[in-house]
Amino acid sequence: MTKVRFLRATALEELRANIRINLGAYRTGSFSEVSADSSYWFEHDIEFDEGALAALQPPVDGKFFEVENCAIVYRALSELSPYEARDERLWVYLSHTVLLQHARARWPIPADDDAATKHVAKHFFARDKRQVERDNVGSRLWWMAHLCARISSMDHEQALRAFLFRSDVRANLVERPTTSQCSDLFGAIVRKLATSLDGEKQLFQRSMFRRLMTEINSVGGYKLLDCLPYTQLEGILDEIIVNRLQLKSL
Amino acid sequence: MQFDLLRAFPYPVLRPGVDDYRDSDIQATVYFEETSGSNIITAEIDFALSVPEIKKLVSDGVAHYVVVFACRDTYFRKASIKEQSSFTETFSAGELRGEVLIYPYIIASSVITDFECAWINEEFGPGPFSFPNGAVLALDQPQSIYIDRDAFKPISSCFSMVKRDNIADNEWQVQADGHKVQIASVQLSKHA
Repeated sequence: MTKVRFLRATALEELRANIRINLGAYRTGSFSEVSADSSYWFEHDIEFDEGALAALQPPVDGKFFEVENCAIVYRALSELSPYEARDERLWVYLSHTVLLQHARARWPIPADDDAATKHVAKHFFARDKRQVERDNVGSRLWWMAHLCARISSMDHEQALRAFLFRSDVRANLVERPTTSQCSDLFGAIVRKLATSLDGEKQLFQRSMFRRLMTEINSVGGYKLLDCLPYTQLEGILDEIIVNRLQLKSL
Repeated sequence: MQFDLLRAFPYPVLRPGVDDYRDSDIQATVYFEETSGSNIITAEIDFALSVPEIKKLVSDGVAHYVVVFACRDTYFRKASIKEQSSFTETFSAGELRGEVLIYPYIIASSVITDFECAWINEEFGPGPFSFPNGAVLALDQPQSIYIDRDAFKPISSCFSMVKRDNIADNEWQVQADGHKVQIASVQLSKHA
C-alpha cells in the first residue's frame, strides 16, 4: 500500500498552464518528475492500492468496463472519504502518474493540438464539480462507485450495473442533487432500475425514466421524502410505476 | 424535496414571512463545533415554537422535529428526526466539505386528522385539518455554513523559493525588494 499524494497548488497550476507545451508527454511520454520530485506533492495519512489502480481495464472493441473499473478504483482507494475525493489536487496527481496510461487508452487524445489541449484539461484535471463527477479519468469512477456504495443491502456491482446502464438515466439521477444525495431514495430508484435491467428495460427508456423522476418530484413537493422509511419509499415508487406510469412490468 | 418558503401548500404551514398562522413563529438555531483532536463535527440544534397545538402533535408522537443536513460536494444528506426540541447530531469530518445547507422542519410522522388551532389564518376555513404522513407542518429559513480543513487549504507564503544556476553551490541570495521575499539557490527544488 502507498500513501496518497496531493499535488501542491503551485504544481497543479503549472501543469494546467502548460498543457499545450506538454502535449507530447500526455500523448506518449511521462510525467516522472511529478512523482520523483517531492516538491510537487504532499502526502496524506491514508493509503491506497497503487498496483490495483494501475490495472484498470482499457477499452476493448467499444466496451469500456465502467462497472469493473468503478469497483477497482473504489476498492483501491477504500480509505478515501468524500472530503478528500472532492479535491482536484489528488486526482490530478493520479491522472499524471499511476492513471496516465489508462487515461490515454480510455480518453484518446486528439491529433489536433487545440482539441487535444481542451481534451486534456477536461479529462486529466478536475476543476469544478462537473469535472470531478463526470470527466476526470479517476474521480468519475470513484464518485459513481461511491453513490452506489451508499445503498444498503444491495450488491455493489449489481447497483453499478443498473446505475451505469444508460448515460441519460445516470445523468438524470446525478444532476438532481436532492435525489442523489438522499441515499434511501437513490437506493430505491436504483433497485427498480436493477429489476428493470433484468426484465424488459422499460425504465431505461428516456421518456419513461424522466416521467418517473417528474412524478417522484411531485410527491416530494409536499412530503419530506428524507423522513420516510425505506419501505414507504418503495411503496411510493410502486404506486408511481403501476398507477401513474401504468407499467404492468418493468 | 426542498420546500420554498413561499411555496403554496394545500394546508397551513407555519413559516417565517407567511401568515398561514397569525402571529406565530418558529425558529431553529444550529451551532456547529469541531471536537478538537478528533474528526467529529457536532451540530447542536434548538427549536423554538410559539404554537402549542403543533408542540402537542410532537409530544403526542404524531409529529417530529427534523433537520435535514445537505452537502452537495460530498453527496451527503441526512435527516435528523427527533422528539425533543433540543438535540445534537454528529458527523465524521470526511462526510462534509464546502457548503452545508441546513433545513429545519416539523413533519407529520403519521396521518394526522382533526387538527384544530386558533392561530390558523381564517382563509383556510374553520378546519379541522388533516395532514398525510410526511407532510410538512412547519419550516424555518434554511441556513448554511462552510466547512473546510485548515490542513488542506493551499497556504500562501510571503517567501518565494527560486532556482538560479548562476549562484555558487554554497550560496543563498535573499532579495526583499519585491512583492515576496525571494530566496535563490542553485540547489532548490522547483515547487518548494
